[in-house]
Amino acid sequence: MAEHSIRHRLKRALLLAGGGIAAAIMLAALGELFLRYFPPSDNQEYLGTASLETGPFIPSAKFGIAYRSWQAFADSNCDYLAEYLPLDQSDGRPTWAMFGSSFVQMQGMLADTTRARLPGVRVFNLRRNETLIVRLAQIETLLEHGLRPQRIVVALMPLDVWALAKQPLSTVTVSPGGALAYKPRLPPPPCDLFVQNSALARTAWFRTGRHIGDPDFRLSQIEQGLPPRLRTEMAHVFGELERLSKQFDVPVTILLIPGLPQITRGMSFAFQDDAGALLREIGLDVCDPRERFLACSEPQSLFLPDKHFSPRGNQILLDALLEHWNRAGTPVSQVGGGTQ
Amino acid sequence: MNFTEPRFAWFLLAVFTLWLICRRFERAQVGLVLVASLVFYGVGNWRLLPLILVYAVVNWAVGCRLRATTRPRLVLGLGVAFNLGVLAYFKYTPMLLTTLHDAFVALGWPPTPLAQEGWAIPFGISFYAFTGIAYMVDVYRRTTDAERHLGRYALSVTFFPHLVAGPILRPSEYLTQLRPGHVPTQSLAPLEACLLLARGFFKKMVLADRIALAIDPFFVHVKDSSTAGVWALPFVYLYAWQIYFDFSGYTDIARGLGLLFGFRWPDNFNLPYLAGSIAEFWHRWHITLSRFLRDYLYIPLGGSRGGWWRTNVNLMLTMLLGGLWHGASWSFMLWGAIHGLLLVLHRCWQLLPVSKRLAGATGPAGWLWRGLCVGLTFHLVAFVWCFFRLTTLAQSWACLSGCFQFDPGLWRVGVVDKMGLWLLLGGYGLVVALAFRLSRLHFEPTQLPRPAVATLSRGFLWGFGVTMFVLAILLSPGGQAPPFIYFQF
Repeated sequence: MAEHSIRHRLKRALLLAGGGIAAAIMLAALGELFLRYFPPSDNQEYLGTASLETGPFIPSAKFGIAYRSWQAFADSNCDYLAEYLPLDQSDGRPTWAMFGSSFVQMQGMLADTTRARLPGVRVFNLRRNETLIVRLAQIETLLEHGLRPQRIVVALMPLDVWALAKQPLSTVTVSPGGALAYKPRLPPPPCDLFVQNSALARTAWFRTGRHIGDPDFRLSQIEQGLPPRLRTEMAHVFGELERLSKQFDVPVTILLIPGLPQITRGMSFAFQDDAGALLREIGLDVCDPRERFLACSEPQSLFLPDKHFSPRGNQILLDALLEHWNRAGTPVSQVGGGTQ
Repeated sequence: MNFTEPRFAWFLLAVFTLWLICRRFERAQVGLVLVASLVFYGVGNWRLLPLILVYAVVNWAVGCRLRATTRPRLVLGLGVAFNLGVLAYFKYTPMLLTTLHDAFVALGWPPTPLAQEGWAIPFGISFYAFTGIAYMVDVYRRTTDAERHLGRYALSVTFFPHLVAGPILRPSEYLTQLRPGHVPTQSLAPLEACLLLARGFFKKMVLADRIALAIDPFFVHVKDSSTAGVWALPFVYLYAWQIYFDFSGYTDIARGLGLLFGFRWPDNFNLPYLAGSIAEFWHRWHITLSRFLRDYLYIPLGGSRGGWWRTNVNLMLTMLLGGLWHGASWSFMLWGAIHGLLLVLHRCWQLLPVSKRLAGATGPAGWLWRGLCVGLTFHLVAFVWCFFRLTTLAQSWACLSGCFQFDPGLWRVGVVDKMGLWLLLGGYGLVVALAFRLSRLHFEPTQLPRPAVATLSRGFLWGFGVTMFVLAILLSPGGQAPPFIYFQF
């Protein structure tokens, strides 16, 4: 009787498990088939040669990527490039080319503030917030195709180098269609076989977030100073920028923009200290406007609710930049037009 | 908090684990779930909490007062006025100020001020205001007893699975189960809960969100000539499916969560796009809202007791207010008005002798007639959804009129080439039909051929539920998931 009961239970358990496994296999097979042909958009930049994404890039040793051609660059920046063409001609005013995040590009920020305040200067900016390596590739292409600004300003914040920290240059690649892509980090063997051969396993791995170059890197690490690996990466890309600067005889200024917590909450300036020292060592001109901001009364009024600079904050940033150049021996009065 | 946010998974895990520990201690259980629900509602915007707490306290106090007062009608009126007044203030102030402003400008008078920028409607306010009204009216009608315990009443209002987008529950469907001695101490139907949760997450995260990605650009540029034409029709159909998957997905998740905590709630949807008439559609779509509007608005207005014309007026009024309940925009009101008009037209059609003959047709003729009715109803509903999706009348009209312009040059503009989406929708239909067949075998024991098949089908359904849940995560489009559409109401 007991034996019969055990056999009955075993049979029941087997049937239950069999039904469950059959359903799981059936649905998983359908899911696998679907994901093989229609991978989700957030997988695309890690799919390597299978990626369907298209873009204007080719691989490059300098910044990880470079623009495939002038036409590819022009097509991907068609919104605002036209007003600066042809690149080698100007309206008689000196050109300042500005590259950076939304703190430079967004409406009313540094580029627009400069444009309004210094009508004697022609401000070149593409009004797009690109990742650091794309900005550097833009500078390379523009210089190679005739842009000769009086100065290039590259704004830098911890957030700008965070992308480089999370995705080191060794992981940067380009999809067959020319889009910026990354080599995924794989799980340890034997799980890597699943990820390489199954679309379901690959998507599951990607959705854990462990597939990016350095998944454990946190922004707070940059705010405490430059970690050694990031220092090496920055030395490489900014070294290439310095070579470009020399090759085309265009001075480059790196503007280290302070963030809201540093100005209003007394957070450390370790990033600016480390990055400034490194970039000066490379030979680039570095402007660190922290003193100007720290000397301001009512520091909250320097920022908008979205943590970008207010008009007052942008004025101070521009003042600091002009003062830096004055001190460095290239006073802004030389550019004509003066200030308003 | 949103059910599809990763942090909700951690929240649910923590709350359910604590619930399992303290479920035998009624007061502790009520306290735990109440606090958890307030955290669920307040996380991200703690300023909303006083509002829902004031609602709970006022409705509870009105309920208690209704038992003791000699003027219950006055107390009920004050309670309902409070609920509707606060709802109207938050929801309709911007619309009224904008309308007033536009009217003054049109008349050449100095413009009146507009609503403050960033005016936010507390999410779920329509749902908990209606739940409160249902409670007070039921206490007034003596179909339910007033709840003496503020904590238990507050939990019935704020319980997180149904807080933000329903289902809109009657007191007898939830509050009575929170009375002393009735609070559930174990989960109900774990397999059914698993299937509901898996289906709900799949509907929302995979189907609704993928459709949203495919059609949102069309609705943003609906007035562009490059996206108009008869090839816009698939977008209109897909929006009808998006809102269905989005809202019914939410309801499935809410009902699944209810079962986990021991409560069984009514379904909100019963294959609404298989309805053969508009009247039938409203018996299948957002059933708990239709029921609320019928019991607390249509019937108090006189229902069908006042003759043919009066019934039509009541129908129109009910649908107009139902439309306005959805959102503070004239297009929502128009959406409700069109549905009201269609219901009146359907009543007119039913007066004709031919309608009775066709309704009674059997065999192939009956199937053909039913198919025609279903197709016509779906198209009407899908077209009227344009007023729901687009915020201005000009956009809605451009979308609708565009559907009737034929331009062969635009045939590749639509979503007809989004093969992945169509395959996903077709595959989902087939797989769910299979699971439905199996679950009928499982949940209706009289249909079972043998115990072995029952066990096998039970295993199959567990495997189906768990794998579908995993696939909901893996097949979702990725990136920032849009919130549930009904969260805005």
